[in-house]
Amino acid sequence: MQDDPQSKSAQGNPGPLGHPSPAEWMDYLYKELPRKDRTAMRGHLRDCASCRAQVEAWRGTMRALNQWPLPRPRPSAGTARVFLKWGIAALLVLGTGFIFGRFSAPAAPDLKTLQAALEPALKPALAADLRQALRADLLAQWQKVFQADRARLAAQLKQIQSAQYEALDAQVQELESQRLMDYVDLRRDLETLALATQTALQRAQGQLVQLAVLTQPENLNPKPSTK
Amino acid sequence: MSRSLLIPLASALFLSDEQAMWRVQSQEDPHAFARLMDRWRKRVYGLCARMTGDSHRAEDLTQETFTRLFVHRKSYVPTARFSTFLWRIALNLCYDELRRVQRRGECSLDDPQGETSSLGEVLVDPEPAPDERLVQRERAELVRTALLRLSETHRTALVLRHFEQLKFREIAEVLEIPEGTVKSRMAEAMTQLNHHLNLLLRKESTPCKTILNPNPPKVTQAR
Repeated sequence: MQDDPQSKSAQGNPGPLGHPSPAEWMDYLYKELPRKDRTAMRGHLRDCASCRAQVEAWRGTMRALNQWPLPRPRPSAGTARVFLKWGIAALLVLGTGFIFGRFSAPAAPDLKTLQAALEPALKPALAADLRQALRADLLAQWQKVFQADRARLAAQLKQIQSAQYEALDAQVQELESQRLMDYVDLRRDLETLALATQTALQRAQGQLVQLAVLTQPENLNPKPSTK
Repeated sequence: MSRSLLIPLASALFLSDEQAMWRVQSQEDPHAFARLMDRWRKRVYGLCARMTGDSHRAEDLTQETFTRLFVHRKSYVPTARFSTFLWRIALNLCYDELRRVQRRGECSLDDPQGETSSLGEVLVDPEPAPDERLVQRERAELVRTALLRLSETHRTALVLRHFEQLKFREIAEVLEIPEGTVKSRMAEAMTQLNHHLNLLLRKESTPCKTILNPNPPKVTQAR
């Protein structure tokens, strides 16, 4: 066991020249420092012989303290009784449960008898269920087919309507073009007629003028000459 | 499983110390109290044995601690830590015991071979040879004697930190003193213990069963 070289530093005051205080060494020795502080103090120990000696003395004291192990207390009779009581209770519960389960379990049933008893009751119910399921299935199928046919018919109708509209449209266009052609012809005929009429009228007019001239009285009783 | 079995089983599995103590305080639940005793009995015994140096008396003190815990259960504050409350009860009983011993002079704290010595009760490794066992016992006895030479305040700090593994902050809470004071006392205790051990080692070379220390250390108040 080493003599403590710095008994004064155990007063709890910070040591001289920046040494860690005894309180800080206690934190270090009992590992209550954060890691970075521990590293710093370990570094100080490497460099400072006096602190190293003091810490080593304290470590020696800690080792000495560990040489006084805790005397073993006498076992508490109460604690042993409690454990014994719980152990017996657990065994009783498990044993009772096991025995009860074994003796109260029902015998294995006779399958053929069970089948014979259940069949008359189950068959009609099963048949009804099957019919209903079949009906529902058929209905679903029919609805599916009907929907498909309706869709197809609608598409065909639409197609027919579309063709009819196209044909009608073509006829209307043809009629229109015919009308136009007739109009052109009629106009041409009318113009021709107008021209002919105008010519006839002019001729008639000329004839009338000649007639008028001819029918004047001078022209009818010419006067003798006086010589 | 009946309700009377389920409740203690649940208590055993899930209760914290504070919850168990609350049950003891409010419902006087014996199962919760038994659970607390099971958890803490060994540690309280360790504290009492190291504070008084007497393993037989430590068992009685342990029992008294839990008795007093139950008697004063109403004074426990549920928001406080249970361990702090328990340590204080145990420490007060230890101090009372030390003062009683000193007043009655039942044994000298400095007598390594006295009647109250727990030399025969020290747990030793069963494997070593008899002579090694004897050496271990002697060393243990030296440590016990040196520890008993410390003042109450120093011994309390040292026992709580080194043997009971409480953090300095927790010791400060138990003793209601600043954490720095705890650490200072700890450093002083270690230094003084070192000194006493050296003295005892030198004395060992001349054993004398009736040696009494003419200047026995005074047991002072810790608070």
